[in-house]
Amino acid sequence: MKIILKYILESIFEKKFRTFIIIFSVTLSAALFFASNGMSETMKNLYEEQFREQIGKADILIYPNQNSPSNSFKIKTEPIEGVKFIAGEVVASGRYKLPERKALESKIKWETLTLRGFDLKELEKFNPINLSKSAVGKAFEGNHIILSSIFADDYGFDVGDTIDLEINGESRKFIVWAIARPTGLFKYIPQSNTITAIMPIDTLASLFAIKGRVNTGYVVLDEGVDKDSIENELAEMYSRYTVQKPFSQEELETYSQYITVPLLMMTTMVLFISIFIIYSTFKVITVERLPVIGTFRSIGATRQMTDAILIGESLTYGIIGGIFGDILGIGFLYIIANIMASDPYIGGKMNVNINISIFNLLQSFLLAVVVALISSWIPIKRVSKISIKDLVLNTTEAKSRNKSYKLFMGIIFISLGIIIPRIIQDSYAMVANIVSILLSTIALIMFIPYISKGFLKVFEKAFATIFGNEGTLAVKNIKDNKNILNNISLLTIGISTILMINTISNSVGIEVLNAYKDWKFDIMLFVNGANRNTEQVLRGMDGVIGTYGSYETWEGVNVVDTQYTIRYLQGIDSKRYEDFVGFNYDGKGNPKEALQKLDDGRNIMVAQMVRDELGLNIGDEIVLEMKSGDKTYKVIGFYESLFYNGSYGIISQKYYKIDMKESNFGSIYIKTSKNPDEVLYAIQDKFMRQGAYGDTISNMTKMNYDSNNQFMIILKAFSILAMLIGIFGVFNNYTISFIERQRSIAILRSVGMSKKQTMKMVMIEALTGGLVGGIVGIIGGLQMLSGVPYLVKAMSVPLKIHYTGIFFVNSIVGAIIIAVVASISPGIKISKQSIIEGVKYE
Amino acid sequence: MEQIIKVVDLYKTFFLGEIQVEVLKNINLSINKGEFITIMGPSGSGKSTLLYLMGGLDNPTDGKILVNGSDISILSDKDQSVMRRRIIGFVFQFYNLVPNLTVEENIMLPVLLDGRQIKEYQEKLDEILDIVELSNRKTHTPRELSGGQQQRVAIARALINDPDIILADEPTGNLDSKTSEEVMNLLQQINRVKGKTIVQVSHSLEAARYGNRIINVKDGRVWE
Repeated sequence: MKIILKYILESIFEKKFRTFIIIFSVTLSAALFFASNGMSETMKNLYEEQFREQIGKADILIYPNQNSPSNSFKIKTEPIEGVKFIAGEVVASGRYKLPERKALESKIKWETLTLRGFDLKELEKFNPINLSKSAVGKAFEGNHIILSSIFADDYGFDVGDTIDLEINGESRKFIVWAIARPTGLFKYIPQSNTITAIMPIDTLASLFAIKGRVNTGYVVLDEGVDKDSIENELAEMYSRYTVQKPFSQEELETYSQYITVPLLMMTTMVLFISIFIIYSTFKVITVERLPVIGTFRSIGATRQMTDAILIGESLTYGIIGGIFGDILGIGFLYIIANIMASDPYIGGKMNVNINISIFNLLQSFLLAVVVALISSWIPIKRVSKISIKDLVLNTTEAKSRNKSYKLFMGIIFISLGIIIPRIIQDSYAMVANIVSILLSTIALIMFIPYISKGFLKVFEKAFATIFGNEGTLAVKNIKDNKNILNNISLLTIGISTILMINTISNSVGIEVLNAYKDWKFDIMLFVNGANRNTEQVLRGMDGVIGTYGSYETWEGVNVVDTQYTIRYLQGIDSKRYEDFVGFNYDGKGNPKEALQKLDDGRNIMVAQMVRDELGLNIGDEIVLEMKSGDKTYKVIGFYESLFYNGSYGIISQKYYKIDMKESNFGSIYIKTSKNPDEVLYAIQDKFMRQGAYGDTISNMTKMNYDSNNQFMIILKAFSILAMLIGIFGVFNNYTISFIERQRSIAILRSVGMSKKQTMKMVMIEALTGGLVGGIVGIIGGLQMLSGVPYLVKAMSVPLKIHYTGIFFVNSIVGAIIIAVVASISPGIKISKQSIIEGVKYE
Repeated sequence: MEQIIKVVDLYKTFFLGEIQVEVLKNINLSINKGEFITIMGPSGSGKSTLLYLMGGLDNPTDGKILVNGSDISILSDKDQSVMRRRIIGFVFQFYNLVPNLTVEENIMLPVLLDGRQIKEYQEKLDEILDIVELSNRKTHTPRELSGGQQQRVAIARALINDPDIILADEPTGNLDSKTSEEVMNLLQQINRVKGKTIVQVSHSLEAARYGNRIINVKDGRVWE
């Protein structure tokens, strides 16, 4: 046993580069698997943490909505079973005028603070703040204020100092009662430039004449109570306000799935490349071990014993790769979680609480072992079948097997790869797409010898003209060179994966920009109770050149007798709508006339996504669950829009107001003649009491782009890792290839091939391999991409794939560079080898 | 008689790890045009090394090898390669054919490497295939041929560029006696009919019988 173990270890360490490649492949597979799995829990923690920073231990929130009679409400005092307490909050904003020197430095005159009024004792019970300094012994009341340490440090405030704030248009003095560290409620959000300050709730409420009322109620429940029934009970009590849990486990699950499922898809690709590399490397290992296996068998070792030696070697790779994979996986998880923790919308970073479970570690470790064992199983079993005589006499010859079954299987696989995503949709779409990508990739690998042969036929003549006879020889050499065909396979998988991810990433970017391009205004503004008067005031402001009040619901409208909800319904002014929104009409005729038909009755136009989801045709009728009851609308047309992921419908504002019992605008679109940021700042200042908030379109575009890009960076990193393993595999294959070809190249040298000619031939071979790998990689990438629209459609994201020529060029050039660079070193070595040694090499 | 190969004060030293082994010591010999020479000697005597040096497959440690009057040991890699294509043809014990190329393609290799067009050599190819009696096998790959047939392909390859010299390293070492006889007869015919100078390495007296001169090598030295 000791001898066998020694033999295994010596064999492993004999070929260091090969060992490195196998362990690297197994390690990366295990690490990415661990990271993808770990991200599920980590993302849920991340989202929960993000919520918890603001709401603490609150189980249910109560707050006003568009239909509430007022922006504030009274917390009912009657006790409710299971409710520990309801803490109230009043929110307002205030301005601090910067000292002159600071104003000159920062080029702004005012700093805006979000003033949050709480009963400190209540707040301590559900979302304690972390004070760095406080006025000992004095109660938090009256004109006291708690500042964040960031603000206090910036402007030199200390406990006991007085601060002047402009609230509700009036200047007021407050005494700094405490300084809080920037965590929880005080977390600094750079992008939104939000600095929080806490005041006694009564003080803040008095300033707005709402004493005894609150803007938000934080409900903390007793342990183990039925949250749903209490939520229902509260909903009845506060029937005109929104009562809901801040988040549900299902929501967290859905959020995390958007991230973990694509990661698992990429991990599957990496896994696939690893299996391919280990399989092809083990074929070489088993051939190398034949004489020793023969010796063992001839002195009495059974097949099982010799199998065990090879399985032991594979197991060792799996165990080492599993251990390294777990360690690297923790690192990957940390990096991915940190990237995802950055929130471009708020410009800050969520607290990362990485979930490392023993179960996940064990799972990844086992995956590493299984990958190593499965990949090596077929080569090991092949050797096991060789007779002792053949082993001892070294008379095993590579039999040329009938490969037509591969072509047949390939056709079946590619057909399934094309069909599956098109017929299996909805909740199984993700799995179907992974299976489809895998089947298509396997099929491509099976086709590679045939595809290569086709290309080589074309190249043979072209290369003879371009490169002379060395070109002809190079093409002939590639035809039956398994290592070069393996390289083409590796390049194909790597290139197709990268092409797919880059194209998706680019398409998302283009679509995001396109979506916002439809908006022909500069600011989207939300003001409580906004109406024509609000528009009037806005139009009178400096820099505002046009407004459009949008009647809309962001809460969704159910389509009766279906499971579908139109997530965004808008009541439009057909005469002015197109001045503010680019309307991409999907039909014949004048779009303006089509829009005007909306006013003719209860007519609706829906985005293409809704049409596809509900299978609608022009003239169909759908029943919408409106606030005034179910209303039947006639479908009169369709249009292209990515807004709300295409779950978007428009009706006439006349019927919207009636059916939704709505008299206020949901939002106001504003066109500006000046810097939109400055105009928005002025508007928010003017409408501070109405809780005005909004954003510029350029900022929304950037945020959305950054948010998508953040995740795409991770996917790109995964695809690059897949390519990296592939590149190592290519290097390894070229090294093996030239070792195997020592003799044939020495033969060519012996009949007159010069070193220069040898190098030229090797380079042409690499160029051809890279060229074919790049082209087949593009074919693979296109096949993978062909399933993506079905996948994203199942996720209700209407993504249009934009193919970019430069990616195709990059794929081919990249594949050629990899192949050529990988063959330089072995090429130089082989051209310099001793002809005599080469000729005698077996 | 015209000298075609002249070996002057030739030394060849190898390193086996740290140990220096002097394989050939102060060798001097001349080979005339049209001769059929057999270099004989026990295993490890240096006979194959001498043949490889004469063919420019390796360079001497010291001394000169003159082929048609020019010292091949000082030629550049390119010029040595040209010489191997045009002036010398090699035949090896294990045939050394490129397995994935057909008989025709294997024979044409020196032509291809010389940058010439195969179609210009079609007639010559047919003629040589006739000589080696493989006209009906030209589209076969080496693994579809017997040992004797493979060796005849190797001989054909050595002849395609019409070289002055054919160097053969144990050409019958891997063949049975009947096939060996066929191959030796072929080489003899090439020597007599085509006037090619043939230098073969062999440890078989039977093979040496086909030549007209024997050079013995032992412990790195030669005598006749």
